[in-house]
Amino acid sequence: MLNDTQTEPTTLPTQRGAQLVTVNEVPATLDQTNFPVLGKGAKDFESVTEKISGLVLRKGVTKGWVVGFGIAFMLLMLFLYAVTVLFVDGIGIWGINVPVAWGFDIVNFVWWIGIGHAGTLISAILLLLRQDWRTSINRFAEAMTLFAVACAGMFPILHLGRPQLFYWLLPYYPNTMALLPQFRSPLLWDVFAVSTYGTVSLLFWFVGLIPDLASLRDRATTRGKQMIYGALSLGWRGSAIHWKRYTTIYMILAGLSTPLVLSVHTVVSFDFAVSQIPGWHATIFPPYFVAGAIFSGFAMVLTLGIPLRKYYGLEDYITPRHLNNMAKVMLATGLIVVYGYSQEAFMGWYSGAEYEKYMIWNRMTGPYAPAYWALIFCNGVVPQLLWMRKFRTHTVWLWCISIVVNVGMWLERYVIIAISLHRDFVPSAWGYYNPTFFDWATYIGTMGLFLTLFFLFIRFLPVIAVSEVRELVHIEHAKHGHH
Amino acid sequence: MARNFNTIVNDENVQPKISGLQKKAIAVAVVGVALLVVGAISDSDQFYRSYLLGYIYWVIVSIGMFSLYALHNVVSGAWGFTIRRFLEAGVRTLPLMLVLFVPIIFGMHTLYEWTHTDVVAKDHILHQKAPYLNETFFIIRLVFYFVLWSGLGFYLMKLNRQIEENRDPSKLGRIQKLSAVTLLLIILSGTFAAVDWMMSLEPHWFSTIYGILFVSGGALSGLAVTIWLLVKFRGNRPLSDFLVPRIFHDMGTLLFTLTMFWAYISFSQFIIIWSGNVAEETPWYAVRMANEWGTIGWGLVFLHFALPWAILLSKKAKRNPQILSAVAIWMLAMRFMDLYWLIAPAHLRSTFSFHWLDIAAPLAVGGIWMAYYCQQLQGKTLMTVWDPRLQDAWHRIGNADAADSAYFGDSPTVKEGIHG
Repeated sequence: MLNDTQTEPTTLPTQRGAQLVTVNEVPATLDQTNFPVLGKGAKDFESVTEKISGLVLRKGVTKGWVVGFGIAFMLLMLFLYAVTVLFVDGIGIWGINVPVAWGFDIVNFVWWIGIGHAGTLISAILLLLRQDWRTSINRFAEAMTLFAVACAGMFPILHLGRPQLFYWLLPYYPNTMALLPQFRSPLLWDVFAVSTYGTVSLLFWFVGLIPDLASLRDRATTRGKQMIYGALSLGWRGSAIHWKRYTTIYMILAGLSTPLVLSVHTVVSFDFAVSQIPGWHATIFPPYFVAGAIFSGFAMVLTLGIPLRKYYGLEDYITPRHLNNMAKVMLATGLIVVYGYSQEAFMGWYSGAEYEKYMIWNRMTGPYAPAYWALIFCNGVVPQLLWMRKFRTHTVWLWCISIVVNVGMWLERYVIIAISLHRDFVPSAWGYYNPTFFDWATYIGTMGLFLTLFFLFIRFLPVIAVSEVRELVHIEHAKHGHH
Repeated sequence: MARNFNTIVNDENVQPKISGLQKKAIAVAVVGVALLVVGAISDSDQFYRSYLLGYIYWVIVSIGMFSLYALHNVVSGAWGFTIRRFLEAGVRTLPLMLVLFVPIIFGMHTLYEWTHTDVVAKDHILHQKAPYLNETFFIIRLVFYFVLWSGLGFYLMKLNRQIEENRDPSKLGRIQKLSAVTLLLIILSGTFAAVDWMMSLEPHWFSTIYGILFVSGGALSGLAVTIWLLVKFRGNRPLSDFLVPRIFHDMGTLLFTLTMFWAYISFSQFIIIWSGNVAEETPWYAVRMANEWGTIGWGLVFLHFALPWAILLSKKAKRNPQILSAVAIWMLAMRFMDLYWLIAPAHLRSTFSFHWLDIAAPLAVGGIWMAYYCQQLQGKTLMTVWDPRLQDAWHRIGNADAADSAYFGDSPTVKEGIHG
């Protein structure tokens, strides 16, 4: 970082020798160089450890946490209610019916799975790309990934009708029923993709936590905490050999996670694209879905990160640099998604195929047109504000934009799934899809599940990777050179 | 050899080397054009088909270099500063490529079914597409693409030149933002160019991912040419002062990524169309998967993807300029095979044949392209003279390289710190 040399400006005589130019003359318009990755409060190892582990080891809970957790828990109870009725009465309580046999269940599955992708991208890809700004946000983004995958997994399993038989989705041996899943179906690939994704994400998250759990063990003052954190830290002593092995396994897990960022949502997009339904059968789907996933994931990281930063006073750790960079990733992936919409619309017309043309026309002017245009507004128009730095670093604006993007990405899946299905080839088979109370209750209920887990996470585990931030403090100091 | 940011000048061997390359390119161009003339007289239909192939092969190199240039301006990694001159020369070839399009305009009737009014009148689908697929609008779009690309490209180069010459960083923010917009516009306009020039060869067929395949394939072609040049000039100052193994490593990683991306996009298109198996789309693959076309298609899987992927997986290979350059040249051959497989079956359908003009045309266009390219490279330093981000980029690359060198035991190149 150029501004790190501020203590001792390097001077560069120009080639013509006319004037001296210092490196500090980098213009204010260059974002990257403006914001330090850590704030002034994160000045040494002690202050970092004290601040972050203090959030976990303090006694009792704050009033804000109780209110937040209470709301989340009530929503979780709504989920419990919706699922209980579902088990008693069956899938008929949902609004799905032929022709729209896939409704909220799959919309929400894709929405949640997509949200998880930011966590994996931040923890794995940004690590491999040597991006120092990943360090403060990776821990809670990874937690978000895990909880989002848990929520996503609910929907296909609940939709099975007999969820207790979910293991039939796996090819298992001995194959006593002579019943194997259809290997050509992307729905089966989903089972592999999502379960692998969940497993690797959990491992990655836990491995990253080990040194921090050991710090909590060492700092804990009660016997109970010492025992729990002690057991979880797997005997970590912070020796050189521990660190060597830790670094190796961490890089291996990053390498394993990287293809998962692409593969999971690619397979999810195949669920639709390999069919023949106009609006589903589009070759652009894989990259467009992956970009959409990262887009919505970063929106969710901001939705969670901005309040977290404010209420726990983490401004020195989640700095304007993080907000700015995340906003840029959101802008870039959002533009890819908009490119996808443009290709769907253009090719719908260009194909000259009757059903393709009708599909795109029906999206724009049919009974679901408001959903389509709301989607364009949320994902196509509003994120363009992020071209301006003012919006990228203003927490309130950025938070509002992130909410709009979350809504937009949900609408995108709704538009793709419901509109494409409700009018396909034969007009006599057309229909209309209306979600019921239980559709909404299940959806909002999973938000309760997600938030409940998240509130428990911020209470019992360090939301920021202490050991990694300490390493970053060390690197930053080395760059300054005089500390 | 001290890495001195203040005296970035070419050594005396650079200009003769460029001139030598240019002379060879001119020789290839002369022979190639002579062959094309013979071909055009003996078989004009085949001439146009082969010329289109040769033209597309090279125009995507120009477009690809332009997109890499825009990318470099946005992300400003150290690798970009070492190839900026090579990319800029590539951007300057864009107006030439508009001129070289002229034979295709003359051959439109041979190449594009939708230019035949009698066919369109009888074909319901083509009739519907006529507002887009007609000769006038085709040419308007063609000119528009090149005006847009050249305009943005030359303007960005002008801004960068002002920064370098006046050592004034005030315009950097503008370049960064405009380059991001440019990248977006290249992808969008490149998509429509792909529809116009290639997809409409089979005007009933459509695929929404095709534009991405075209643009990212172009970036791969452009990068391969750039790597070849970078390795060719690696021994010359100022490049020799700056090319630490880490730079080749980064270039190799980018090549690796784009190769994988090509495979990802190609496979996605294939699996979706194969699974859907609908009458509008499947014929396109049915032709390309039968007989010799099918052999080429399978060959692409192994030779365009698996082989370079396996080689570039190795860090040692990426850090070795000779191996890296060999892979880049291999990729250029594979790009030809890919484009041949995409373009040629449009006219030949299920009868496979390979005409000598299919080799002569890329050579002729390539000779002209390279001769013109060398002209653009002449008289300039091979490295960016000044950029406020240069030192920072080298500071970071130096740290990474020192760590790598300790690990690999290859030349520890960071001998002197930037402050010393």
